[in-house]
Amino acid sequence: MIENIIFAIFAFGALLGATTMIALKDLFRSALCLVVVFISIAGIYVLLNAEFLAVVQVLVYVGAISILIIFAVMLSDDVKIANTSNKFQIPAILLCGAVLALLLISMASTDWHVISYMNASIVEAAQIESLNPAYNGNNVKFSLASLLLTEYVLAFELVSVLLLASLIGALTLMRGRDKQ
Amino acid sequence: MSLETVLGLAAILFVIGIFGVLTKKNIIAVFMSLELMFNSINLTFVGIGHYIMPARIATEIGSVMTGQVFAIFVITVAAAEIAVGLGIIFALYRVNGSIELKTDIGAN
Repeated sequence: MIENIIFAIFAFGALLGATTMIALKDLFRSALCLVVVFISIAGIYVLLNAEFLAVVQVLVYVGAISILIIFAVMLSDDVKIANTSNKFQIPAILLCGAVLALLLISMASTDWHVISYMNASIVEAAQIESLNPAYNGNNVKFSLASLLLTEYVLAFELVSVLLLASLIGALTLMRGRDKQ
Repeated sequence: MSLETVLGLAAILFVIGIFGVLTKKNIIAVFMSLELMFNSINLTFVGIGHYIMPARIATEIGSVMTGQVFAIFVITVAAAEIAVGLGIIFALYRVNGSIELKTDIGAN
């Protein structure tokens, strides 16, 4: 019950922040609304038992990416009227409504319970072997770190290389041509 | 709070992001809408991983946190994307003196 109330608060915050971000003319204020969305989604992660991901969300999105975005906002000519729209608003609304209807219809017509019961749901698996991490006699691991370094180690290394490449690329782009 | 509400919230956030990407004239607003879309995708991963991660796959892989691992990879790629994207924005500013998307056919 209390979970539902907290989820409703966070969902309302996320939706309100997103719509305000689109609607406001002031680019700086819409960046702050984006921060509200990030924090609300971090709260929903906590409700979904993803505490580490919530911390990562606050650190990376609220801490780093929003600072970068606000720094880039300073490049705009006139920040107070920078967040304007083009003439595609009506077709964009139609397209977005169609996409939303497609997503919601496909979500409603999928029988999620059949999918989860066919393979025994996560709840049963959790009750069998995982709800008690101390009683972890089976090979179900509970830390993200062991999963990252065993099953997904190739993707982990590839992402490290991608981060290095993007670091070098961003430095090269920002330095410009005239310095050499 | 169920799988349907989480997925519905993620779908609405994703659609708002699509609307921002399609209609905004400022390139930073387009970037912010892209970040919103990344966040809704992450919400979908974590929600499905929390509610219906099948036990067969969980025992095959040996863990029940696959959705969170996917979300972590998406966050990393999004961070790389925004670093390079801001580099491109700075280069555009240096060349053009402005970061408005003025040459699109929808601009007036």
